[in-house]
This record gives sequence, structure tokens and C-alpha cells, in this order.
Amino acid sequence: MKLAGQHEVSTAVASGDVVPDARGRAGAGSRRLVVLTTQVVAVAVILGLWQLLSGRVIATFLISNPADVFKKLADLLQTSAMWQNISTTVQELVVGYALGVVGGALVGWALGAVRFAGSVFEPIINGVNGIPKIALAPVFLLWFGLGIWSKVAQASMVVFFVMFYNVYMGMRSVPKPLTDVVHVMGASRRYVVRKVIFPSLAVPIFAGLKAGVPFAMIGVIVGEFVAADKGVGYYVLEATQQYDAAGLFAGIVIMVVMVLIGLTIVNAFQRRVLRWQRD
Amino acid sequence: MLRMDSVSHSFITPTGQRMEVLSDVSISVEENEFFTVVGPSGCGKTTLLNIAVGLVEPAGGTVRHVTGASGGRPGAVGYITQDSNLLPWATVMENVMVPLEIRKVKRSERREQAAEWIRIVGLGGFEDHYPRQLSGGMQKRCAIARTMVYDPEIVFMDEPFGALDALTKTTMQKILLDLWQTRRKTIIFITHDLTEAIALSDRVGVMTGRPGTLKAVVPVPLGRPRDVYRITGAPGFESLRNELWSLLETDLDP
Repeated sequence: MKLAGQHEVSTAVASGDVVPDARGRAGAGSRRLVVLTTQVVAVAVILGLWQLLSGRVIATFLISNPADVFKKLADLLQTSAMWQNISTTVQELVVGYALGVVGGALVGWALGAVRFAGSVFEPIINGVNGIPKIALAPVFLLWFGLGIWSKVAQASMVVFFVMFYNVYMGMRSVPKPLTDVVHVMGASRRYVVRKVIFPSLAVPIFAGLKAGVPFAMIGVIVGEFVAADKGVGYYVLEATQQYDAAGLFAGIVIMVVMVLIGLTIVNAFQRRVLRWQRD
Repeated sequence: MLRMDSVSHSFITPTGQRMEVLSDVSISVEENEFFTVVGPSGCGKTTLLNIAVGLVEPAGGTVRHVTGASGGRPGAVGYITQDSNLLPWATVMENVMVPLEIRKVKRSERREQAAEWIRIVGLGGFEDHYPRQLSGGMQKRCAIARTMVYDPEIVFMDEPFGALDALTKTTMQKILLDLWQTRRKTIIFITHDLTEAIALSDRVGVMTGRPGTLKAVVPVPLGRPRDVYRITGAPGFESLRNELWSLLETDLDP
């Protein structure tokens, strides 16, 4: 298609139009390396201090030491009992997280989309959120029993609020000029939701997804502490009661690794979806 | 092309008081005319434009778009604002294709038409850039391409070049004038820059402070095509600028 008069206006990108592009990319790589090295050194120093103080300044049965923890961890991972604990906790985590995320996002969306519903229910949700959620653990135990479901309930409860607030606030801060401009072009409501509102929620949704991972872990472990016969939290409690500090810390290491794996998955997903935010 | 008859509007302030922003504004813009509205800030210019494009229902008065016989898709309206309001998660190409997608243009044609306009506004080679990676002037070019691609009859522009540096601003004015001259559009343009108003328009409407009313409509007798880079030296420019100034200054804060 040939458009008339295009030669008259095809002014090349003028002097004022500077593209903010990949500046200093070469320096970024070496700076990363320095940061990484420093991090490794910092962790090594902390572990070294722990090893040194243990048994000399603080009793070993209280804080164990990195070498023992590492050995205990290696031993534990050979046992099928520990893998059963891990598998139980992972199930509780995944189901609880999923339910909390979906529930929080749906309610956040609904209350954000319908202004009236938002003004009615937001204060009520704030009130419920005011309950210290740990206090509900016995209630969930009563309702859902000893198995995974009391832990799922506890985790999803915590994650729900994290997700709800992110999506709800996200809905309220969809830039109106953006929806206006697309609206003036003749877009239907459905188009605006699909192409403007939904993408603009991507950032708060990912904020909620990320914050939700450690919160889900807190929920699950609290549930397991209150009453359980399986799970990493259950194992940690057992180890503590037997003054097995190495076991206790090994359990904690496993929890941390789980959270990090969860965050890695969310981050990988985010990098794909939020491509437009990257350099 | 556009008739606004005794349009008035008011807001309720957060303290519960009624604030009148527009009072009895009547504007009649002819087909293919470049009409500019100038006025002190807060005089309701943006509200007036939001009413004209149909985003805001006026409290009083009527707005009619008279569909013309010439250029542009009947009923289609373009809207370009000071913030370019490009979708930040869409590339230049995807942004320009949005109105075509809304109009259900065939997929293959969409890309072709969008690419054509991206080239016309001088953004060739930046199709896959995200708005964040563009300068203010380039974002503005993209916003213009996104509007022109669906060939609206009337284009409303709300201080579109207000946030640009002087050099980029003049370049954008030239691009706009060239487009207007070759594509024959009706343009309603809001600015508080008198030089810009004179350089671009056929007529300039001067508004008073709040509540905004149309105080005078001044024709711009300068010939066309105009050289926006040297417009301040054009014969008649100074006296026109003075005339507009004296209309405006009575309403400016001391």
C-alpha cells in the first residue's frame, strides 16, 4: 500500500530523539562477578564464625555447627522417612499456595472491578486480616483434621491476603488515561479488559506470587507444629524435642531450599511474561 | 464537523462543593480545519476535550460530530494526549496495531498498515522496541502513528507536545502539519504555547480562567505551507501574538 505524501514527513529520527539503549553493558558483567564473589565470601565468613563459636563460646547442643548440619543433612536425604516428610510438606505447600493465590486474585479482581462491592467488603476483609492467623491453627485442626488439609487451609489463608491486596490495589491503579485512549479508539469493554486491564495487573500479580511463597511456607510449618505426623515442620519439632540441633538446622535448610525453588519457578515465569520491563 | 453548543460542566470537589469548570462554551469547527484552544491552566481545556471525544457527559449543552464528505472514516475519532499513553507491555508495532485489531482488520493487513505508518512517522527500525526504550519524541511519533493508522475524521490533541524539549517540539509540529496538509484531517488542538498555536492553526479559540468560557476566536492569517522553524519571523506573527497575549493576560494570576 502506497500512501501519499509520505516523503514530506519522513523526517528521520531527529537529534532530540536519543535512544536510551544498552549503556555500560560491558561493565555490568564484571560488576556482577564482584557482587557474587563478595556474597560467597560473606556466607563463608558467617559459616566459619558459626563453626568457630560452636562448642567454644556457645554449647554445641544449642547451635550445632555447619559441619554437623551438613553431615546430618546428607544422612537424612538417604532415608525414605525424610523424603516422605518432604513430599508431605511439598503437597501442603503447593495446594495451599495454589488455593490462596487463585482465591485472593479472584476476590481482589471482583472487589476491584465492582466499586460498590469494594467499598462494602474491603473493611471487612481488613478486619479478618487483623486476626493473627497463627491463632486459627487449632481451629483448622478441628475443622480439617490431622492430615494435610489443616496445613493447606493455614497456608492458603495467609497467601490469600497477600494476593488479595496486590490484585485489589492493582485493579484500583489501572491507569485511567490508558483505558480512556483505547476506549476512544472504539474498543469494546471486553477488549479493554483483555488488552489493558489484565496486562497492567501482571506486575502486582507477580508481586503477590513472590511474596506468597515464603508466606505459604510459614502457614504450612505453623500447621505442622500444631499437630502433624509427617512433614518437615513435624521433623524439626521432633528434632528440637530430642535436643538434636543438627537435625533442627538441617530441617530448616530444607525449608529454605524449598522456598528458593518456589521463588526460582515464579521468577522464571515472570521473566517470560514481563519481558517488556527488562532491558 | 464539530459543533459544541453552550456546553457547561461542573465537578463536585472532595470537600463537597460544586465547582463550575466550563460555562456556556460554543465552538464550531469546520471540516479540515486546524482549530486550537488556548487558555490559562485549570480553565477546563482538558474537560472540554474529554467531553468532545465522548469520555465525559457534559452537564449542559450538546456535542455533535457532523460526519463530513471527505477524508477519514466516518465517526472515527482520534485522541492524542500529553502523556503518550502507549501500552507499556506492547512493542511499537503492537501498539500501532491496536486500533486495527479493534476494527478487526485482517491479520496480514494489520501488520502491513502499521509498518507503513511507523515508517511515515520516522520510527522505521524501532518496530520491536517497547515504549520504555523510546525517547519522549519517539513515543509521540508512535502515538501519532497509532492514531493515523485508523484514519479518524477528527483528531483531538491535548497539549501533545507540552512535555517535549523545544527542538523535538518544533520537529513534531512540522510532522503534524505535514500530515494534516497531506491527509486532510480536522484537528482540534489544545496548548498553552501561543507560538505553537499560531504556527499550526487556522483559528485560535481563547478561553478565560475558571469557569472556562470561550472569550474570542482569532483567525490566523499566515499563509500555508508554514515554516514552523522560522514562524516567529513571519510577517504578522508578532502582532497576532500580542493580540492573543492581551486577550489572555487579563485572566492570568498576578
